[in-house]
Amino acid sequence: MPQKVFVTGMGIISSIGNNCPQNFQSLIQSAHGISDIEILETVYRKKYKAGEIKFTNKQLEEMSDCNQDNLTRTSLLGMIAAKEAMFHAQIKNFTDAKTGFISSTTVAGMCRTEIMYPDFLQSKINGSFIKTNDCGDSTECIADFLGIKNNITTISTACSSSANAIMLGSRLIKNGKLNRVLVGGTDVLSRFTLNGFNSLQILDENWCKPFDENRKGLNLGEAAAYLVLESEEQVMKAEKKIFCEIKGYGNANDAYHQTASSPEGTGAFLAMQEAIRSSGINVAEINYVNAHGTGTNNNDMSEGVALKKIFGENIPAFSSTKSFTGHTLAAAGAVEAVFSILAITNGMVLPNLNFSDTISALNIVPERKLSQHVDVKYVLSNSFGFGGNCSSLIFGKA
Amino acid sequence: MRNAVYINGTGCISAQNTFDRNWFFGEVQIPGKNYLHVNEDSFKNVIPANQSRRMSKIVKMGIASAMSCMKDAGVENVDAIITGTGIGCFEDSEKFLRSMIENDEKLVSPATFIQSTHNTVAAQIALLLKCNAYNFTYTHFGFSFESSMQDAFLQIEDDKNKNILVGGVEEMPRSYLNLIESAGWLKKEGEVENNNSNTSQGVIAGEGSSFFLLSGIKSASAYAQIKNFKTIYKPSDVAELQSEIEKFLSDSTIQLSDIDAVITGLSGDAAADKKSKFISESYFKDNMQLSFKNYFGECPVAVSFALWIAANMIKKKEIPEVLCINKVKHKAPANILIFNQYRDKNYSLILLSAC
Repeated sequence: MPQKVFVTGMGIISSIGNNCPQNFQSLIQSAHGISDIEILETVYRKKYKAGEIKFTNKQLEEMSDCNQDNLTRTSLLGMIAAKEAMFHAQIKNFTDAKTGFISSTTVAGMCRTEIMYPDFLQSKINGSFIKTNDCGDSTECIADFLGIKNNITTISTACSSSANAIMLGSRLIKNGKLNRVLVGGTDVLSRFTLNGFNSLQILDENWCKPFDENRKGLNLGEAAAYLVLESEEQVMKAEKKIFCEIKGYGNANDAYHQTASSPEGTGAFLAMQEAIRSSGINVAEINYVNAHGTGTNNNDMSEGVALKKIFGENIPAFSSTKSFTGHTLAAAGAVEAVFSILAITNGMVLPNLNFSDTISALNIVPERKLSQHVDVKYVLSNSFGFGGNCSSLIFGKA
Repeated sequence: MRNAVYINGTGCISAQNTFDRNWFFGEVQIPGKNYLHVNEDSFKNVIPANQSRRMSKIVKMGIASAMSCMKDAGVENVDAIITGTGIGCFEDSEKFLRSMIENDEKLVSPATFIQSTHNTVAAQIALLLKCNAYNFTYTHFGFSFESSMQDAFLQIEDDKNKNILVGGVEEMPRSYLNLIESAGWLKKEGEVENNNSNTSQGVIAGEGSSFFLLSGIKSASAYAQIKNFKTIYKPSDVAELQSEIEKFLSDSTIQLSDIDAVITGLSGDAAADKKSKFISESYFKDNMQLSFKNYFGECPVAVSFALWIAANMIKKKEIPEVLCINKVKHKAPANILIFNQYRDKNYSLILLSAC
C-alpha cells in the first residue's frame, strides 16, 4: 500500500526573510527583496538588481552556529534553512525512523572557487579549495551539521533541482524506502552565474516582470529552502502537525534545446500533465499555480502556452513569486514549495508583482494582488531548468 | 530484498579499451602518469562530426557510451535517462571562469556557460533521442552513480517493463588535474606504481563513461541481475564498516562463502584505503578479490567501471587475471560483490548475480 507523503516542517532563508514567518510577512505585504547588489563583488553592481541576502558570509556563519571550517555561502544558507525545517518538524533524534537527506544546488562551491581561482592561476595558493567545489559538498556539510548519517544524495538539474529533490523524497517515502526525508536546495549569487546569464542577455536591469508583454528578463536571487517529508505512518505515530500533503509530481524533458524552451511548451506540458495524473485529482480542482515565471521572453511564453494546453480557458489564479525573490536557481523549486504551502495553510493566493500588460499572443493575466481568505486546496508549482528539465509538484491541503 | 532489476545492455568508455566488446582485458594500458585519459579515437565515429565538434569531452563520452549501451540492449527508446557525475562539466565551467577572470567580467561568450550545468550529458542524450521522458542527474561525490541506480530501481519497482538508461560519467580535464594535484590528491611523479604500501599517497585520476540499460524484464542479452546495493556514509571505524557489510549480506540472503568474487575499490591512497584494505585482508581473505582502479583510475563514478567489469565477468564467464589481487581463484563467478569507496567517506556495496 503506497504511503501518503506529508510535509511536517519547512525552513527558508531568502532575500525576503531569514525564516518562514519573515518570508510570510513579506509575501502578504508585497514586499519584494530585489535590490542593488551590495555583498557580491562584481563589476555589475550598478547594472543589475538581485534578490541578495544582505548578510556577509561571516554574519551567516554566526547565524548558522556551525563551527566547521571553509564553509561556502551555499552550505551556510543551507544549514540555516535546514535547521529551521528540522526544528518545526520537531525531530528529536534520527534513530526512530529511516531518515534521509536530499539536497540540490547548481552553483555549489563555485562561489568560493571563483574567488580563489585567480590566485591559484598565479601560483600564489594551492588548489585545496577544490575540496568545496563539487555539488555534494554543501550536502555533506549540512548532513554532518544536523547529524543525518545515511541515505544522503544531491541532485543537480539546473533550475528544477530542488523540485526534483522533493519529488525523489516523496517517491522514497511512497515506496516505503524511507519514513522521513529532508529535501530541498541551496544556491547563492556568484559572479559565475551573473556573468553567465548576462552573456545570454536574459537579465533585466530593472525589476523583472513575469508574464508581462514588455518583460526583459530575470533577476537572479539566492536562497535555501527545505521541507521535512514524513510518511503517513510516521506522522500518526508521533501525532505531528501537518503542513500539507505532497499530492502529485511529474518530471519530463523538453528535448528541444540546451537552454531555450520549446515554443509549444512540450516539457512543461508533460510535467504538469504527469503531476496532475499522479495526484489523482481533477485539473479543475487546482486553485493556484505558482509558475516558474522567470520573466524571460522565452520561458513565460513557453510556460503560458503549456498552461493553456493543460487548463484550456480555465487557467486558475497564477503568479510567479520570482518577482519577490528573484530566480534562486536550484533553490527555486523548494522556495516556491514553501510559498505554495504557505498559500494553502494561510488561505491565500500570491501576487505576481510588476505586471502591467498581458502577453498579447497569450492573453493570460496573472494575479495582480494578494487574495486572502481563499480556500486553497491544491497548488501546482512549476520549475523548469536548462537542459530541458521540467518539473511540476502538486501540494494538497491535509 | 529489492525488486528484480537486470542489466540488459552496457556501454563503457574508459582509459582501457572497454568500448570494444571483444577486448575484455586483452591488452591492458599501464598507467605511467598519475592520471589516465580516455583516448577519443576509440569512439571517434559514433557521433556525427558536425554534432561532436561542439561537444565537450564529457558530453561526447556520455553520448557515445549511452548509444552503444542502447544498441547492445536492442532498444531504441528509453523510459528514463539518469546520470551520475561528481565533478560535472568542469572543462567548460573552468573555461568560462577563466574567461571571466581574464576579461574582468566583460565580453564573456555564453558558449561554455551553456554546457556547464551538471545535467548537460543527460540533457544532450535526451536531445539526441528526442526523448521527453524522466531525466535526472545526481551529483554527490562517490554516491553519484549509486543514487542514479537507486532511482532506476524505484522506477522499475513501479513498472517492471520500464527500460531505464543509467550511467556514470566523469571527465578529468587538465584544469581539474592541476587543482587536485596541487591539493595533494594525486600520486607524485615517480610514485605511480606504489599502490600497496601503507605509506603510498595519492591516487591515479581516471575518467570515462559507463552506461547500463536496466529493466525489470530480463532480455535475451541480459548480463546479470543487480540483487542489492547499499551506500554507507563516513563509517567511523572498521568495525562499523564490517557490520554494515554483514548486514548487507544478510539482507541479501547470501553467505559470505557464496560470494565468488569481490571487486574492491582500493585507490592506491593509503589513507583512503585503510579501512578497505583491513577488511580485504581479514573479512574477505577467503574470497577471490580484484582491484581495478590502477587501470581505470579513481573518480567519483569509478564504481560504474567496476559494475561493467562484474557484469561482463558474469556474462562471459571470464576472470580478468590482471585485476586479481589474491591467490584465491574461482572459475566462473555467479555472485560478485563490489565493495567501493571514494575518499574514505562514500562507501558502497553492490551485489550482482548471474540470471
